[in-house]
Amino acid sequence: MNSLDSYNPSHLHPPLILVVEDSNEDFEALERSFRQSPVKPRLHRAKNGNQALAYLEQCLLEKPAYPENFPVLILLDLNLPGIKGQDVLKSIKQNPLLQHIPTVILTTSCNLKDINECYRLGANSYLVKKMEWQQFKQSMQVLMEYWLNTITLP
Amino acid sequence: MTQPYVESLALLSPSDRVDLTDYDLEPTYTTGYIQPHGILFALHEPALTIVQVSENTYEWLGLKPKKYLNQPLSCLLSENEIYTVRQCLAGDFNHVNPLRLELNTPHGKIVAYGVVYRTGVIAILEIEFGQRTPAQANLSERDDLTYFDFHRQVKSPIEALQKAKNLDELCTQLVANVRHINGFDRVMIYRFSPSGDGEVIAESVRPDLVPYLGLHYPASDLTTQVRHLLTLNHLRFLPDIKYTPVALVPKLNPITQAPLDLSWSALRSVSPCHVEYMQNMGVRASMTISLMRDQQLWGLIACHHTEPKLIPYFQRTVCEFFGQMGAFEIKAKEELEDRDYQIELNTLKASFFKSISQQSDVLDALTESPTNLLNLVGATGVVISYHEQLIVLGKTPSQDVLKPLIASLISRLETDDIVQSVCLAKDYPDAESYCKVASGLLAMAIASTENFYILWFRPEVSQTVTWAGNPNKPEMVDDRGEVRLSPRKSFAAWQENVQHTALPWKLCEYEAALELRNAIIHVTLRHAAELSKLNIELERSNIDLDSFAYVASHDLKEPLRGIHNYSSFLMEDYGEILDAEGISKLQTLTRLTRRMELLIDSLLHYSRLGRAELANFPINLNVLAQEVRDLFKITTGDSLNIIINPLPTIVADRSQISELLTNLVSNSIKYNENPLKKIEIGCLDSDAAQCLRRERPQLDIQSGSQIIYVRDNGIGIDPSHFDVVFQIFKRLHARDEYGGGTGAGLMIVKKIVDRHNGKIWVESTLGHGTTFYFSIPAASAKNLT
Repeated sequence: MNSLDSYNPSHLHPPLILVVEDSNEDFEALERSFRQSPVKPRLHRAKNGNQALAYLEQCLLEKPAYPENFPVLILLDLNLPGIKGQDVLKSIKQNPLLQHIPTVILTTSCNLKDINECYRLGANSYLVKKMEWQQFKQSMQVLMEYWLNTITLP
Repeated sequence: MTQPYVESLALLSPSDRVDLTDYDLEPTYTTGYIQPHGILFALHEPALTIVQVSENTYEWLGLKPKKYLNQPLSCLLSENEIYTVRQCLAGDFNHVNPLRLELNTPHGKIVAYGVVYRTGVIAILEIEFGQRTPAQANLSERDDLTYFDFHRQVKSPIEALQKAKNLDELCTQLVANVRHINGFDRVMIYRFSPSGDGEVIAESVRPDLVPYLGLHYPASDLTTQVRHLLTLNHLRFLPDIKYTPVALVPKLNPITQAPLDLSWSALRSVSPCHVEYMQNMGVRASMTISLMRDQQLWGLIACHHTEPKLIPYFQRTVCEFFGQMGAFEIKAKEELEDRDYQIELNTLKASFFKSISQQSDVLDALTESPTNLLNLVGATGVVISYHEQLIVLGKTPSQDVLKPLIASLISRLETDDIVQSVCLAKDYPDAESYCKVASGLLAMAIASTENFYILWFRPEVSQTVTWAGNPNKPEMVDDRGEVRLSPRKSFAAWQENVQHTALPWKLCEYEAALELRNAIIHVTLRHAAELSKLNIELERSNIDLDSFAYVASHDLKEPLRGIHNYSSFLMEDYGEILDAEGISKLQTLTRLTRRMELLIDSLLHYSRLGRAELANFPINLNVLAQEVRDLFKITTGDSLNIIINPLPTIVADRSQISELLTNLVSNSIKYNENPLKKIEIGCLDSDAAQCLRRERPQLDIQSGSQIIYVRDNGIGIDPSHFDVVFQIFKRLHARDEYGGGTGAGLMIVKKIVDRHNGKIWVESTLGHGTTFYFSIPAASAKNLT
């Protein structure tokens, strides 16, 4: 777990990922893939865009007191009830206090229009959810390995 | 005295091209000569000083012309008469002329009548004596007529004219009446056709003379010059053709410094050509009365006499009156005859235009009833050109000659409302070969951008026309070596077959054609409005389809992924408890979810292919095919042999064409059981392509298309399946045979070909291999983005 030291000043807490996902089944698959992954982050789930933005707002307020609750990575679905994923992305990337947080789009849509729009809005990666469970699990593990274990985060 | 040669003719050199317009230039009204049966005084107002006089005063009045020059009018007339002359000049001279005058001469008074009028700043007094020669220069009693005489002479003839049933009867009455008044040997009515030719349509003639009825005169017999004079001065009179012209002195008018304008003169001398013409006809005296219709010269009443004959002014006025009345009645009769035809035409137009407005397709509407389209303008054949299409109804030239004809007309059709001809072979020499069906042409553009034209045809009227002379007036060189035009020497009528000529198009037919165009444009505009509405609806349904595609990709896939995941989780978590059968069922479940995902993806891809904008650029197919070959070589290896024959460069969307080739090659590999899978990619040469287009017109391949083929030595396709292979998700084999697949490959191939306006078809022998062909239209500026 030494490798995680660089991300989190608090040695007691593994890094936190904010997952914006409305589907329980998809969230369970995500959790399951992380459970089986060598890199095990903590997850905070928001079921829709509003919840996600509210959580981030609260983190900003409480950051000095609870820095461990501040997400190091955001996994964002596009097809959400209420505010669209694209709009959540826009809010994050336009907020000077949040825009540094790497935001990875995780969605079923392989529509070029969506892909291009998200990168234009500042998405850091765009990942199409794999249908095949094994593939999905593998892509999640690669994702964790990359963002939490390979690169240097802000 | 020599004949007054006309200056314009004398100026012509023999090398000058002489056509009829040169004859037209002859300025007969300024030649400065009058006929000898009267005298002319040109007066300068206000004093009415005599400034010009005809040279023949001595013969009639006994004083030389110079005695009159610069003298006041009182040297000739009494104060009372001078007052009347002034009154006449002040008012409308037509109502006051002629004036009965008693002229002062050295031998006493001479009774004569005078006509006073103005030309420019000059007043003119013309005096006639009711005699041809000065021998007995006095008016006879008979010439001294009153209003009551006039009324008596015209009343019953006019009533008879009004009772005439038709134009023929009217004209026959008219010539009889005029001849009764003037006693000429021959009185004819001569009608002009629109081209200027004349025809004798009525005649009253001394029984022993050759009748001229039915003769046609070429337009060149009456020059535009003469025509103009006839519209100004409605009566021309030559008591003796063999007269000696009398000059005016001085030659130039001292006030205007120009020859005197004699357009209005009754005494005006006539052109030598006309004199010669008359002499050739054996005519000594002639009188011509203009028949005017709507300010245009409709025809003439031409009177001929074999002997010199003087008709006094009064009788001439009666004849002129008949001319005016006659013309009035002619107009009424002609309008009546036209009206019947127009009523018929209006009924036709009403029903025809209504049916056009009710039909959804303009071409169908136009051709639904061929008789309507033909009768609208009284044609026997009609051609509708629309894009590349030629629709032919009735009797027309063959299609291969129509195209060049239309091509030659296009520039005129763009500028003119209507292009018409009654002698197409003259305007367009190639038409001579088909003049029998198409000597008359009426053509108009409906929409040049659509290559939309309508051409009506009329056949040649092999009418035998009796020409009163050769219409091609010969040119002649006179004894001074100058080119001189001469009217024919012989007046024997000969027949000329009017070749290549059709009946003229009537104004109402011309208008009907224009109305048809308006009706078509109206309908087309309405269709365009409907189409744009449909387009909006289509766009909306495209948006719906788009959102469906989104739903399919997202919402449908989410539960599907759930099913898949949970079966996987089951196997992971409970794999040890489940028996082999349970595991197998779960595996089937996951396999089915995979298959469903593939189907959804294909559907999505298919719907996007149909809507994505094509990025059309020139693509070298050789390079593209090699890329495809390389791709398959990696996966299939040595068991595959792809031969690429020389391929063209086409203009198309690169990624779609690449997918097309990939799918076809993939298909060829998949449905192939040979140890060595042979695939050949090539292009038909232009001869083969042309041959194919000819032999299989139902394929409807655009000319200039490139035809590409992909041939394999695979399992082949049963001919009964040729059509269904391109259908959506259609599979010919069981799902687990030949490597599975969704069945979307060929459907996507077809979609791509469709998007490029091409055609795709298949040839195959079961067990021996399959060839897929597809055509890509030639690059045009339009499909290059």
